[in-house]
Formats: sequence, C-alpha cells, structure tokens
Amino acid sequence: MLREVPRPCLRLVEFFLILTPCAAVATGIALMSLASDGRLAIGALQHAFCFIALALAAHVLLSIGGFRGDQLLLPLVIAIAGLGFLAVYRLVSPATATRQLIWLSLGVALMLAVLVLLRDPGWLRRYKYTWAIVGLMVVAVTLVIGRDTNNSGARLWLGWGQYQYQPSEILKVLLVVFFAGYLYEYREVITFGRWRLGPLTLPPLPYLLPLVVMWSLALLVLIVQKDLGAALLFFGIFIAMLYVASARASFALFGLLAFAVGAGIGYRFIDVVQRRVDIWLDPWSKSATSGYQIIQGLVALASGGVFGTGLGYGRPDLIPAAYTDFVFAAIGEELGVLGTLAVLALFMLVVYRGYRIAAMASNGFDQLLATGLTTVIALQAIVILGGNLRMIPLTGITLPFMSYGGSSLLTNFLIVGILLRISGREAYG
Amino acid sequence: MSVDTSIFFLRIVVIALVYLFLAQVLIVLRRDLRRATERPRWAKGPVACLVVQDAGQTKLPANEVFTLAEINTIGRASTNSIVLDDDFVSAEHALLSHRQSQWWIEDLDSTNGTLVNRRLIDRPTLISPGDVLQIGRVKLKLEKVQGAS
Repeated sequence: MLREVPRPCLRLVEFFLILTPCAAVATGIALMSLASDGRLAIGALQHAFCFIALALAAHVLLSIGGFRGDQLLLPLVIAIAGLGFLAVYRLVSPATATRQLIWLSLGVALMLAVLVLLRDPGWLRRYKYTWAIVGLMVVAVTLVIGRDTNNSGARLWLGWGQYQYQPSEILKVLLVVFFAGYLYEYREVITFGRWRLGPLTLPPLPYLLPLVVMWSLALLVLIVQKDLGAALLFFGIFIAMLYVASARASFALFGLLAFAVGAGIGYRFIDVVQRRVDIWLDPWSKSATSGYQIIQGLVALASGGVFGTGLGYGRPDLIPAAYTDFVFAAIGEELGVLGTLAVLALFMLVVYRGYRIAAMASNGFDQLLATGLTTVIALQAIVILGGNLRMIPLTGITLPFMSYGGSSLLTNFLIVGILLRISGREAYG
Repeated sequence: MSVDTSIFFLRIVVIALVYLFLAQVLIVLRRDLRRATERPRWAKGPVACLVVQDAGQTKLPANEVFTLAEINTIGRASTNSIVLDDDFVSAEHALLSHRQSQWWIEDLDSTNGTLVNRRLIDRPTLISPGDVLQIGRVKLKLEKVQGAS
C-alpha cells in the first residue's frame, strides 16, 4: 500500500528551544566532573555528548518525518529529562546514567514509533474494552508471579531474566484510553441522563456502571498489590475525566466524598496506608527507621537554601532512593529553591501545553484522551512532589521524565507520543 | 582561571541556562497566544457569527456563538453545520450563505418557516449584523466577530 509521505519541514522554534537545555546539561556535567576530579573527565563529556545527540536526533527525526504538530512539548520534556539525567549522574554513578540514557533513547524511539504507527488516535477507541482488559490482566498476572525487586513490600514488577517492567505504569495509559473511548460514546447520556429509582432521581447509573466496574477492578488490584501511589493516581484520573466529559460538578464532589470515605476505610483496615499516614504526620519519632527517608529529604531541601550547595557539593545521596522517589529533594539541595521552582515551572508548562493540545483537538475522543493523558503526568508530579515536601503522605511513585527507571520513562514518552500525534492533526505552534 | 573560579562560574551558568529556557518558552507561548486571538490575514471567508438569544427547547447555553462559514445549513438533523434540536425546527430548515460580502437567508421549505425580525420570509432575504432570525423556537442574532475588520 502506498502511503503519502509527508514532506520534511523546518521546526525552528523547537530547534532553538532544545539547544538551551542541552547546553545546561553539558555545563552541569562539566561542573560535576570539575568538582569531583578537578579536571574535565573524558567519560563525563561523552555522557553530555550522548544526551545532546539524543535530543537533537529526536528533533531531526520529527522534522524529516514532516511532523507539523506541537513544537514546545519536546523541548520541555527534554529539559525535564536533562535535569533528571544530571540528578541520576550525580546521585548514583556514571554507569547508571548510561543506563538512564539507554532508557531515554528507548523512550524517544517509542515516542517516534507512536507517531509513525498511530496515524489516527480514533483507532484506539475501537478496541477500548480490549485495552482495558489487557491492562487489568497484565497487572493481575503481576499479582501472581510478580517480583519485589526493591524490598518495598509490594510485588510490582514483572521480570524476564534481567529485565523488569512495572505493569501498573502501562495500565494508566490503557485505562485512560478506555475512559476516553467510553465517555466519548456515552457523554450525553451521562451528562443529561436521569435514572429514576422510585421517588429518587439519580445520575444514569446503568451507563456509569462499566466505568465504575473497570475502575474498581483496577483499584482493587492495586490495593491488593499495595501500590498506593498508582491507586491514588487512578482515582484522580477517573474523577478528572468524568468531570471534563460531563461538566457536572456533582460528579467531582461525589468523587471527592468517596475519596474521603475510602481514605478513612483504608486508614482503618490497610496497614500500609496507616503506616504511611503515621509517618507523614510524625516522621521525627521514627527518624531512625521508617521516617528516615522523608526526614533526609526535608534536611536536603533545608540545607539547599535559595541558591543550593552547587552540583556536586551537597550530600543528596544520603536520602534513600533519592534517584527515584526523592529526585526533587536532591535537586532542592544542590540547586536550591531556584532549581525546584524551575522544575515546578517546567511541569506546569508541560501540563499547560497538554491541556492546550486537548482544547485544540478536532474531535471529542482526542480531547478526552489528551486531557486524561495530561492529567496522568500532572497527578504523578503532584503526588510525588507533595510527598517529597511532606504536604501529603509519601507514596512510591516516580517523577515523570526525571526519576531513574525504565517503566516510567517509557510510559511517559508513550504519552508524549500520543499527545504529539493529537496535536499534529491541527497545524499550529 | 583556577578550578574554583570556573566551578563558581559554571554553577551560575547552569541555573541561568535553565531560566533562559523558561524565558524562551514563555516568549513562544506569548506569541502563540497573541496569534490565537488575532485573525490571521491569510484566512479567507466571512467574519460573522450567530449568537443564541433564545435557546428554545435546545440545550444550548444562552449567548452560545456559532462561527459562520461561507455556507451554513441550519436544521435539526445532525448533518447540518448549525444543529438546533428543537421540535419546531425541520430536519433541514434554512440556509445562511455569504455572497458578495452580504448575508442571505433562505428557507428550505421548512414546516414552520423562518422569521427575520419577526417577519416570515418567502424568498431568499438579505440580512445584516443586528438582525434576529427565528427558526422554530430558537432566536439567533447575526453579529460581526469582535476585532475583525
């Protein structure tokens, strides 16, 4: 079959925007090399070079492919990933940074593959039940044969030999696709419909049922797995998408009420929830044991001050699991409030851009899909940043694009790929 | 330059570059927003809209705006460019078109007719901004788009 090949196009805005984070990464790595060895190590420069090559390759391939969509999303993601790359390089070892680079390359490749293969997001809609069931099945399988690789007390990983994947990551994307497809089809019934039960007038429960069933199954599996971060995320996505599709504030209010009840029950009956909340309320009495991580995170943020200790001069490596859960605190120690504010601004811009792509999308399904996927990124960032700052109980969830970890990077680049594809249908940016 | 001074210098450069990037993004965003509010010069076609005055039985919000194209069909069927879901609107009710920079409304043999400023029309009729169309129980006012020439 012959397919019309799009002509290459100049993506000048994207090109100039990508250069700056590349320069920041190169400078940061040079700085760390100088700080630790007193000279520029050749290995450090190789890392910087590889990162820049990757960023530019992504840009060039988009241009050659004649992709005419959003030009801001990729530079923003590259900037966040660049800061994360610096943090991993700093916190763990150059060898781990190399692995992060490999994951980043795979993520970019996945993003480009989505753009090439997924010409029309509407295709996803046709198989919405399949996606939801596949997602739930993979997670259920993990429940049975999963592994607990980092001794967190939760078996979240599906491994094959040396490689592992965290299936709850892909479940979020699949469930968003299902919600978007279902809500698109029934949004009018759900918005305007009324269901009478004797004297009561209720929202159209029969039409909400498939949604609620899918969603409770997902929540159940996650709670059995003790993956609280993901459970919290799913709850948020569900309420956000239902609200966007129906524009009925009562759904959102009811969702929040259900959340309060659920949280109360969780605190009473699930020991992990209880432990997490207790640590959050008072980490100091358990400073040597379960509260150690969060206290180290707070100390790191406090010692950073406004300008930070400077890359390579702090001790953020004292925080346990700093390179996955506490990247934000580590940035806070070495780059100070200036660094953390920049990270927040970058995430805000990514989310803004995602919602803008949703608003500009040409049909209802694309709009809902883009909204849901952007909400995934936004909520992940809020949940883990709030946990780092001790504003909400800490749950083990990754900071999108920044934390070390293959599953999370791949999934988030998949999301960027779909968002870019949706934006590509409208010529703007 | 000693190692210490260059480290100090580089520390400033890293954070400065991050903020330079943020500034660049904001500049692009500002340009983008300005372009979105402005009507591009290359855009062709008439610049007017229909504003809902009375939604009748439809669930349209008051002051809902329909941006108009060169040719607009109005009716209850979902194939129309402007869909009015009111029992008194015919499936294909009326045609609103722009010819030689003038707006024409034509009734398409609808059951209940089309009214311009409360008068039933029997032939294609010239209308201008400010006129009110009544189609079924829905009242729509023709208006110029803000900011357009």
